[in-house]
Amino acid sequence: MIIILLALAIVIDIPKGPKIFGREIKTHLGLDLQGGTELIYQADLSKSENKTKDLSNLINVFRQRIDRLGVAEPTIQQQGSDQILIQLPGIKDINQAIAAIGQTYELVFMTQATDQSSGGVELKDYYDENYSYPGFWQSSDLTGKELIKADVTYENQNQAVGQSQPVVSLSFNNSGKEKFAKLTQDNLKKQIAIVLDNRIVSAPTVQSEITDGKAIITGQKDIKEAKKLADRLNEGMLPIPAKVIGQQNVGATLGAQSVKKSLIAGVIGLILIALFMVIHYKLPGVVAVIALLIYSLLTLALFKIIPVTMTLAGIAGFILSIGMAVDANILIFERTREELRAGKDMVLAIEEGFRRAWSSIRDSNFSTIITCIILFYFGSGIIKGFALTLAIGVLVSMFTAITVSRNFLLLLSKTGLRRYLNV
Amino acid sequence: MFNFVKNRRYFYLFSSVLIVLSIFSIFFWKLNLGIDFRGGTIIELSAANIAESSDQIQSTASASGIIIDSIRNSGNDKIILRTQDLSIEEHESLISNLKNTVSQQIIEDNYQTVGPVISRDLTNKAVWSVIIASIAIILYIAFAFRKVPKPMVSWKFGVTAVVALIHDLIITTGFVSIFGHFYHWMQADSLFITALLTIMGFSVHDTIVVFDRLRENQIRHPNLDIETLANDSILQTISRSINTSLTTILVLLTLFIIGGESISHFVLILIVGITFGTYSSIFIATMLLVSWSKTVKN
Repeated sequence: MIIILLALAIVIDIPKGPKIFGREIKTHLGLDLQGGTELIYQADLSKSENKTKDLSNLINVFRQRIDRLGVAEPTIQQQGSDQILIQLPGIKDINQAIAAIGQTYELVFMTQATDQSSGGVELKDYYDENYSYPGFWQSSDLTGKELIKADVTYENQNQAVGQSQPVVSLSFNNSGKEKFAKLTQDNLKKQIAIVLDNRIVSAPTVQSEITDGKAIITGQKDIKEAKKLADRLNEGMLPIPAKVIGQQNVGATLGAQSVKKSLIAGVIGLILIALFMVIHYKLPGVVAVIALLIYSLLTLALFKIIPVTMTLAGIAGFILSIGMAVDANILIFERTREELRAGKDMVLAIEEGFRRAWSSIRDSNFSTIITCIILFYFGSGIIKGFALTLAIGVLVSMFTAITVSRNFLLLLSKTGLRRYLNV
Repeated sequence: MFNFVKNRRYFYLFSSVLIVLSIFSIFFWKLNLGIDFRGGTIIELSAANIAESSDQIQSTASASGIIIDSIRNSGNDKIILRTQDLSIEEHESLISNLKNTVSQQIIEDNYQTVGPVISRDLTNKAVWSVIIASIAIILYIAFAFRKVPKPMVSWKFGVTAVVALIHDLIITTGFVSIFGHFYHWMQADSLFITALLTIMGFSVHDTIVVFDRLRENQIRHPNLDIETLANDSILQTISRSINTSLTTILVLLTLFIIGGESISHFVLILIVGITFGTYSSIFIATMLLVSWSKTVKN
């Protein structure tokens, strides 16, 4: 079983990760190692009626804007009750990113124009660049700034059948209400285009004059299409005010240097441990070094599979877990040595040494894991990464201590090398 | 063999002195807080021989109305600035002014600014994690040692382990305070919290190994008195404790020497904390357990 696991780990560890289930397995680097921009926004929820919904709307708007930036693997997540954490790997210019995320794309309502002479323009479809809407369009004085809400709701369209259909409902503020009333009055039975970024998102026909500032756009095929329209409308406004309260930008070279330095430190550290173990414990020390190598390969493979985003703190957590993995071996050896001194036979001494060491390995590692779990729940950012790598490392180290170190020692004790096992 | 337990008052004295020093330093010199705790900005700039222009950088910044708290170079081509919490516009104008006055070749390697809101959240979270983790450890040890023979009580193992842990945390924090008073790069930031929590884990880890031995010895020799048992347990585990800490410290030392500036303070805190963690698990936790059991008997 150890051999199968090891083979799997090596396959996963080789730099060009294999594709499994269509998803490439690779090491995920955190911003501090990869370079990029991190922003923390705080939303002002003081005027919000439905805080959870407004915040998730805001996150959606941010996501759409970030998608326009073309960032590979951005992270956009809620943090605490009113903060949003945004990580943009590879983005160098922090101010440009803030501008792009904070920018309000102008949403305007346009009416049909007779021709170009009266200021009419031709407009393309928002989703399909090759499709131009027929006719010409001109701006009205109503814009997205006067829109306060766009939402997907259901309307009983066909009462007889009892079917309900997803629609998009809009509400305007006071000045928007008046403008919209006039607009619907003037354009009864005509189309009004909702234009974002100079492209038509939707061009519904006005069915009746609307004076209460609440409109409904029907004709969406399904909930998905209705949602898409509501998202575009929301994009034209920030549902709730948000400001940047934290920013970080790491240059790509600094990240690459950190990776290199930590890797070198890790390798040298491992070599030093290996030397210490071999000099101090002789042959069993060699067993410990092999166990450590297997341990490192397994842990790194797990980091890739889960996947764990590697940060500087995460690397530190991993390196520390190596210390704990060595500890398990030292505990077993010291115990075995005592049993040997007590005059026990080699195989029995190893079994006993292992059995007696196990209770302290178990209890001490469990207390570390408990600390890690608490850190993971309460900590933020780097602390989480550290706790996760340390916990995985400790779990794997217990596993390798039980399987690799013990079985190797027992195996050796049955061969001609047994006389070198005297720890 | 040397009887550690008989001479425990010397260890108590040594630890008390360190704790008093630490607490004094924490009260008088405070902690050199990192920007994640007090808000502020860190900018790392690199350009050829930029270290020579530090005066010029300082004057350019103050001309833009930005006060630089500290400026330090890392090698000849890199400089690290700490300022108050900058707005987007202040940051943009500072960088373009620096490019104009110092060098067009300046590259901003790292920029981090933290507002006061985040720093408050982080402090709360850090304090809570330590408190909750301590309680969880007491409970876990009390549970793990539930079969300990009388007259020992299992929760006392938990409490003394946590006392030893608090001992380590106070001394480590004191070290950060004293060292940070003289060297600006030793900061109490979120990596400092991470280090404290790791030290907690290690300290308890070490203590449990000694306690585990004590538990076993008590079961084997129920007639021996606690002082002898404790001293035997210490002697039996001391080479393991020192070897383990030594290997961990070996790794940490390599990290400290070549691991890069951004984590060097973190690694140094760990080295100090783990050293004291090992010391306290051998010389403080077990001794306290002995003293406590004896007081109860009397």
